[in-house]
Amino acid sequence: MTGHALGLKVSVTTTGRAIVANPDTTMDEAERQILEAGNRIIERDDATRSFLFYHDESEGDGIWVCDHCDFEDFDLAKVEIHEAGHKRNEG
Amino acid sequence: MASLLVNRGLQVIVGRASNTADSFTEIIAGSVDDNATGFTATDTALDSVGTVTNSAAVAFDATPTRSAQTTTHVFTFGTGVANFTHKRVALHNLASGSVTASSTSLVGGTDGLTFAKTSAFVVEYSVTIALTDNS
Repeated sequence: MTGHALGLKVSVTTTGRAIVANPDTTMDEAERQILEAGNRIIERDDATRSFLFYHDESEGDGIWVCDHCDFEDFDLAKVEIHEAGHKRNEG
Repeated sequence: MASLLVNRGLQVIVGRASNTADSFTEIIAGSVDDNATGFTATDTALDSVGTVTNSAAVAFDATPTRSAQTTTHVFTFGTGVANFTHKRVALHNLASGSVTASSTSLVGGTDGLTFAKTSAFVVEYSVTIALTDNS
């Protein structure tokens, strides 16, 4: 049998990004607002003034630790920032 | 948490490709809703299972793109819309103005999100559908 006759896999992947609407709002303030609302942040992008809050794909099995405290659950929660000013230390 | 095309969505894809007599409309809108129940293959509308209290739908930002066997659909909710907790993202083959919680328009989507949107943010979703050899 050749080609794809034996099986076809259908995959759906979603990415969600929040973009700061008010140009006068600082990224730190926006980050605080998102986290205070109980949301998670996977990635902060200052260049586009946006926060990635959902992505289907796993970031891998690495264990990340916070650069401010002993929080180390980043790999399971897929978050980069667990509270305002506290982000994973990839070093 | 699941991301899937429902049976109806698969029918839309194969029906459109072969121009069957069903005359399915193409996938043209994206939605968010606050239904905490996951999508299942037999769903045909957002409220097929569970309760939808809030939902919103918009047209795509631009014509969907294709690269190899993957299509990408991007849609954006502005500051004044969809200000509730987003729990599911979905695609529809119905004009956004006609998509409701009960409209038979569901193609597929992703459940299990939790994002409390406010008017301080614009939210952009990108949903891809990929077909790959699984033999």
